[in-house]
Amino acid sequence: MFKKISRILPYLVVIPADPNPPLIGIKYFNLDTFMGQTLGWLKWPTLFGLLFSAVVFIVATFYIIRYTWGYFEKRKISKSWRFIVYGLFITVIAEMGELFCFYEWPMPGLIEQNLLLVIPHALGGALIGFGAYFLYKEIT
Amino acid sequence: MPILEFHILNPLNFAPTLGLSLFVILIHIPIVGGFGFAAFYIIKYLKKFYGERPVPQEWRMFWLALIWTTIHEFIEVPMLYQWVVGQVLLIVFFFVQLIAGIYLVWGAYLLAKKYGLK
Repeated sequence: MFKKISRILPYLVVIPADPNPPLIGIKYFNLDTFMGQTLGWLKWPTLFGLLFSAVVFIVATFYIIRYTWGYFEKRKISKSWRFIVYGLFITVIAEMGELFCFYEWPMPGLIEQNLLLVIPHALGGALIGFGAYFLYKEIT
Repeated sequence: MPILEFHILNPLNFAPTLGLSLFVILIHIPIVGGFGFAAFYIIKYLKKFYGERPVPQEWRMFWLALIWTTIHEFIEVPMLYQWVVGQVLLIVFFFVQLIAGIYLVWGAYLLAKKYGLK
């Protein structure tokens, strides 16, 4: 399985921050450090803030889905709202990736950096941006 | 961790090659810009859709969530490049996360409550 991922990943990799990054950097995961700096008393507030960010995107996605079901009822959900829902959902993955990368720094894994953080973050942001743009275009 | 420190670090030296460093800079356009773009078009949508009528609370909350999420993403840029390091930055980051999160859930909940949760 890992061999297969190792073969595919170089084609998806965008950031090898370290010249020899690990495939998965979980062994460098340390709740006491953030971007390589010792956290001290900020350890728990920082963890709470990062987890909170991921959870709120999950909850918001759930409520926005319920909103679209209620608002559109039997009609097809508009492209704008589909983009916004997908954007919110993908941002959940990015927020989790952020958590891993911040705590694994300076040796975050390629999977965490690319598949969990950079690609979902860029995709999520772009989808929400375009969703809002399409929403505006629908009434103009 | 220091209280607050400012460093001058060249973002073009971030990754092993110049191309990758440029890519990391450019990838922030959809990350930060996406949410900013969304906030910009949501307010334009609301102004157009509601005109002179008052904008409902759920939409105001949703728009504020996008504004605060943009700030949240924007703070991550100096954090990533380590231009600003320290406890003050983390505390600010923590509160921005909290505010953005509360507005996002609140706005989404009110939208769902009005149309979806019966």
